[in-house]
Amino acid sequence: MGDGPGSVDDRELLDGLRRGDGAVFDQLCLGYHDALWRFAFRIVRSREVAQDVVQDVFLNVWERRAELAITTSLAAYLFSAVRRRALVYLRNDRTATRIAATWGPGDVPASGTVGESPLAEVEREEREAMVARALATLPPARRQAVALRWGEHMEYEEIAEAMGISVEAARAHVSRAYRTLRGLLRVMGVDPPV
Amino acid sequence: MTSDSFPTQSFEDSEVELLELYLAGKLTGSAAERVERWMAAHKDAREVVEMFRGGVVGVDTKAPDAWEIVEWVRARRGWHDRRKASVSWAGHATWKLGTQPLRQRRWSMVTGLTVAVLLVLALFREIPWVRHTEFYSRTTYTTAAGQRANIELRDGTHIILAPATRLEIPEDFARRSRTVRLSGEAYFDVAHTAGMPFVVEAGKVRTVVLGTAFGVRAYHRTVQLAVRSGRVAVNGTVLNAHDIARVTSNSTVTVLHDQSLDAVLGFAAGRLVLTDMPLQDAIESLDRWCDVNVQLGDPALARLTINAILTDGSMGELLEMFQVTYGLHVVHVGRTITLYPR
Repeated sequence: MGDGPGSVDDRELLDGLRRGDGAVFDQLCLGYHDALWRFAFRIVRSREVAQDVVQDVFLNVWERRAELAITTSLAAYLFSAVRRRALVYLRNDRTATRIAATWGPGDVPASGTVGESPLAEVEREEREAMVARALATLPPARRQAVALRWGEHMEYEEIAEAMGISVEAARAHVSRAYRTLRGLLRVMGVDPPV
Repeated sequence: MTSDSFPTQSFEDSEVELLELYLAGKLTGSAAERVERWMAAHKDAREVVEMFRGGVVGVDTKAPDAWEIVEWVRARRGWHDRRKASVSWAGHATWKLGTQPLRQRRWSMVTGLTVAVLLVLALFREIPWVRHTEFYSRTTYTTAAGQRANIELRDGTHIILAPATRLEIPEDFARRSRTVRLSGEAYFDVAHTAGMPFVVEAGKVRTVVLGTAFGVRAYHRTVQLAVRSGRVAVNGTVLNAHDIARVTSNSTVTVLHDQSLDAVLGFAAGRLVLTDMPLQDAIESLDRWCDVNVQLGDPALARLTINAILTDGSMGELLEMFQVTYGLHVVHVGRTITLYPR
């Protein structure tokens, strides 16, 4: 769905949207829904609120379809709108302190391979703990930026617009997170591919 | 490793990092293959990369069904557009009020008042939460991925919901009509009630029966029906036992006769039956049945033919199938399963 700013997909979607084409709008919703929901969920940490946020953004896009002014890409615009609404929810929600505590270790999901030996299992658990410790060093904004880059494959300009930060800040977030990963590999005695 | 504690360089200044570009989806062709070869040669490193990426991207969180949102927005955008039209009309009538002499003004006031009353009525009729359709008050049954459900309706109809399915039953079901709304897949064993046909609405596809047993598969725009016994009418076409019909988004109905129903209706008996299915196509059903997210580490695996019967939909059963029956190398992180050739 839209391989970059000003891609053909984007133009077709925007044209259809301005025409008031309901079918094109449905395609837009279906295409972006999952990514936008996950993005909202990372911020608000509630499935229902994330759903409300995404619904509201889609409806708003439809209501303002004639006046949309999109600078970078449709994706960046949508993510930015979702981010703004999600942050409004957080500001108004008195349990906001709960949100800060949910980022941290324990975010590494359980993993494994079928039929591994006990030794392999211990080694894997050690690696898991190492990865969890490394993830815990990433502040929320860095995780957000890297999730957009490695999850949704966004360009730095799009990440910057979606998160409301500068392009340099977006680059720095990804750069530092990658260096953390590279550090993990070197600890294991492995050099990244060249 | 401390040199990356406070990096001052951005990526522009330092050397190109292949692995980062690969994770960002910016690599193709031979460069991507170089990274994939590296991962194949360093399986432990690959696992660490996937765990790290998973922890950041959040692979564990499955988004709710997109169609729900689309339908919600659809319902409200129609209301919004009609409201906009009504408001601009009322605004025009009000403007006229201020510029006319008294006698004419009284007529305009009556008109304006009527418009206002009509507008209020129109708004209340259109506000979705006071909509007076047969689905205003209803019970909704929902299954998540990996779940099934058994439902018995007050007329004796028995329904089995497949995973990732939503079924709506109106409050007045079986009083004057029997209409249900389906998004997903379900098996219906309909009790015969004279004079009250049973209707299943799945998107724009309407299936009408009197007393029969059949399955409806409506996860996407194309709807599939399979009749076990009795007769079923779908969008005007009549189907008999052992017919399988597909209705496309432009309402074209294609019917196949004398079909084996095990694969298509297996879910009603607690089985996911896959027969000669390419892995790429099977992934969607496997994801729903087992509540997982299967990824192909090697695109060539897409053509692997799958023959399987899964019962409890547990992760263990699925991993065993991949590892033992098909000899694949399996890495799972949370509920994401990535498959590689050995």
